[in-house]
Amino acid sequence: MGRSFLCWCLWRWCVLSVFWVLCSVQAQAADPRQGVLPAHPLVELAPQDVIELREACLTPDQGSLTPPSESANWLHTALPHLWKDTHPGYEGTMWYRFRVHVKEVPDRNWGVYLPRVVMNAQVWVNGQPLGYTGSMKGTVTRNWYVPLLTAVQPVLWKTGENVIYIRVASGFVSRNGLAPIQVGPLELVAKSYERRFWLQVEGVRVANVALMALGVFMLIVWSRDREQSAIGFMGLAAMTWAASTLMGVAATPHFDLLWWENLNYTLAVVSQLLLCLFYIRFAGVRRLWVDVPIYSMMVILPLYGVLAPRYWVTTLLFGMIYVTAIASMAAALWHVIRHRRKDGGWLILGCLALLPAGAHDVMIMTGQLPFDTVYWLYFAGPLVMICNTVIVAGDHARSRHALNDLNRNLADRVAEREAALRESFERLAALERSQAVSAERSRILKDMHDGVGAHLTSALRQLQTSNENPVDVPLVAQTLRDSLDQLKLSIDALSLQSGDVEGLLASWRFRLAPRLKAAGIDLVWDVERLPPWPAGNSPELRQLQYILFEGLSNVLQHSGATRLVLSARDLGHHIRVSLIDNGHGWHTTSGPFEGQGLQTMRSRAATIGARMEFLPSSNGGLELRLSLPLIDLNEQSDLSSVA
Amino acid sequence: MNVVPPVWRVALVEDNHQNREFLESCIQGDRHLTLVASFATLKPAQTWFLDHDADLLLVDLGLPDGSGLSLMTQVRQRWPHCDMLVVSMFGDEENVVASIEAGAVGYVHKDDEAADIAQTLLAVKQGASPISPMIARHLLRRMQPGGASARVTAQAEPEVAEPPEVMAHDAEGTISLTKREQEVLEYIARGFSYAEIARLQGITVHTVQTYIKKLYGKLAVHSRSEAVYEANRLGLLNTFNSGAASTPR
Repeated sequence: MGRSFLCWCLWRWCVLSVFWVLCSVQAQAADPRQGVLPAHPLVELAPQDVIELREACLTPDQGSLTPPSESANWLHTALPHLWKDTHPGYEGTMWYRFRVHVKEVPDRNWGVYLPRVVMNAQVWVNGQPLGYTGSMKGTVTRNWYVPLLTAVQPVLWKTGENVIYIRVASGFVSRNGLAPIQVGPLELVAKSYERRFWLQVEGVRVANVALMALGVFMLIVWSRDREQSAIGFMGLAAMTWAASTLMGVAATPHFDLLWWENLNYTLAVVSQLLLCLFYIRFAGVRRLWVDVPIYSMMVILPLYGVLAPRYWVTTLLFGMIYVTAIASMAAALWHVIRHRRKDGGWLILGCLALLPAGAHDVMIMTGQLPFDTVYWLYFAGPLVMICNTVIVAGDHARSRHALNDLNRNLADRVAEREAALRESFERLAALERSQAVSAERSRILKDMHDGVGAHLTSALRQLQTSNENPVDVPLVAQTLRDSLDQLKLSIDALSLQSGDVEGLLASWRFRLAPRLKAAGIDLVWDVERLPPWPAGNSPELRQLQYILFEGLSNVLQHSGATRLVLSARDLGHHIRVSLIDNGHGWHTTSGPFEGQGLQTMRSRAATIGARMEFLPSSNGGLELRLSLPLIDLNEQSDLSSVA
Repeated sequence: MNVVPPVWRVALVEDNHQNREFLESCIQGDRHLTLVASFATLKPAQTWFLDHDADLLLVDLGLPDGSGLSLMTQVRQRWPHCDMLVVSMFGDEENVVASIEAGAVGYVHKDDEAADIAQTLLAVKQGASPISPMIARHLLRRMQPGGASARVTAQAEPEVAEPPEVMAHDAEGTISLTKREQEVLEYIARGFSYAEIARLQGITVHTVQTYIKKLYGKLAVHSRSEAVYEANRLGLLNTFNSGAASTPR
């Protein structure tokens, strides 16, 4: 409902604008004031009031530097007067004559105020020339939009009829003419002059310098985010619009007039087309078939301006641009209504300001509105840009708010995840602790079973003797000593770092050296620096201790050796630990107990991934050799396959 | 002129009756040792040491009425010349290190042979201190950056060995080892005997033993400095100082 109503309002507004333009054209065509009359009525000047002179007689300059005589071909006309209406194609200088009646000579300065004259003018009173601004010949000063005020001293007036001449010089491709002039006390006339000067000169400069700054700002914003092409077009449009306007109202060109005017025209065309592109991008349209015609117009229209400028053609071309602008604005407005875009009201406001202003100014240019009417677009342009800037600022504010919200949500989610992770880690840690305790308990139980428990049980059996078999006290003592040694080795294993074979061997020597000494066996310590054994966790180290303990027991009980070498070498891919004695060597006739002991050793070696061998020693004894792999078995097979 | 070897007075504290009798027999069995006191509990021993001293104290840690560590602390303060050894069942590093830090200069195992125990006592009086590879490894781990306490550091070997108290610790209470001391410690940790270390290092066995005993002293001093630090931190020393300053004039 609301959307339909808004569309209807816009449509109605557009129709009314066009209707207004057409009516104005008809009204202008029916204006009866123009005519060829020899003179106009004598106007009575009021001493305390400002009188507007709406009729004059005019004649083209005949080359004299003074006002033409009464016998010249004076033509009566109503003001505002455009040269093209009575003297089509005429360029040069035109004299306007005003006849006024003064009852009493004023005692103070009076002023002759020209709200609008194209291009420049000089005032004469009673045959006396007064000063003028800029140049009246050659490159005529561009006072086409500058109100002129000339002070007239009391001595120049006389009682009775006075004649005021306005000498007007034409300009470059301009609508030459003169609007009604005002005569009266200087202080009163100056008020109107100052108000109009602000509207046509100072105010325009202020607004468009600000617009230029706004355009620069928008371009900076766009340069930091190139995807926002709408902002880029808006910035460029603002800058070119402001430059064009400032050049247009400048009285004195800063370089050659031809180039000045062409550049001014080009900037005006480009700025309006860039504004069209802004509206198109704002509507979310990015189509080549839309962009190409607009870019083409940006090139073709300035070229036309340079090659063959004609005022009416130029006006029509501007009309074409306005049609394009209306279409692009319609697209943008449709986008706002359809998507209920935030801050879309500001775009509507800008369009509502721009459209009538454009229509208004076109009507001035086509003569449908009085010649001296103030142009609206000089102020409507900056207003539109301000509206668009509000939209951009709103987008920026919303983006920041959205980002802040996102950050807050993200922070909250991260905090939640962290809390969940922490809880998960704590559960895992508790589980790991529980598992570690359980594993350690299992390991200790196995230790007790294999070590101390087994030896204590053996000692108990040895003490449970019969009459046939008396107690072998040394054997029981040895068994108990074995039990204590196992207990000490087990305690040492608790302190061993993972993979610390070097520490394990040192502990083995420290604990069992007294036993070797008691047996009269010399120990040769041949252990070099060893790397960590990757698979040597606590259970594996304990198994290694058992194997070495069993190996030493075999040496002590069966070998009859006097010398024992413990050798350990780092061979790169494995650690080799050797227990070499100089005893009797290998006995194939070992009993079942001994055979079971060896099987247990082999089983333990297989469990920890070590290779165990019994080799004949060079000095006749036996070597127990253990190979502890330093490379993972899978890696080892990979290396082998590569080789 | 023949020098008569001294007879060292030994005090014994052991709660297990059989072990105590065994240890008494070990002491009494050596002519260079004499048993001057033997206790089964802590309190009588503490009382006895108030008025008596000994050359050697052999003490069990786990006594029925307290820890042998407290007795060692008392004896170290009152009779600093008394060398203290701990009677340990396993010689495990936790108990041994705690004993060393309390001032012990060695330990004996309960299942050691009688001759070995007597030999250990005499060796201590001659400047030696027993240490196991596991204890050595424990100390080396503490020397590593970020180790258990990271309070032990190595220093370049000075030309002349300084007294333990001088270089035992730096301003932060960190234990400092000389390069030679650290090397000896590393050899012990790897299982080498004192004789083998002496041969590898080109020094005498006695020097090796001296290094070990010096290390024991440093650990004890370190322990004391930590105690002072703790006392300072807790304001105990300040309390004493302020008390002296506030004495009425």
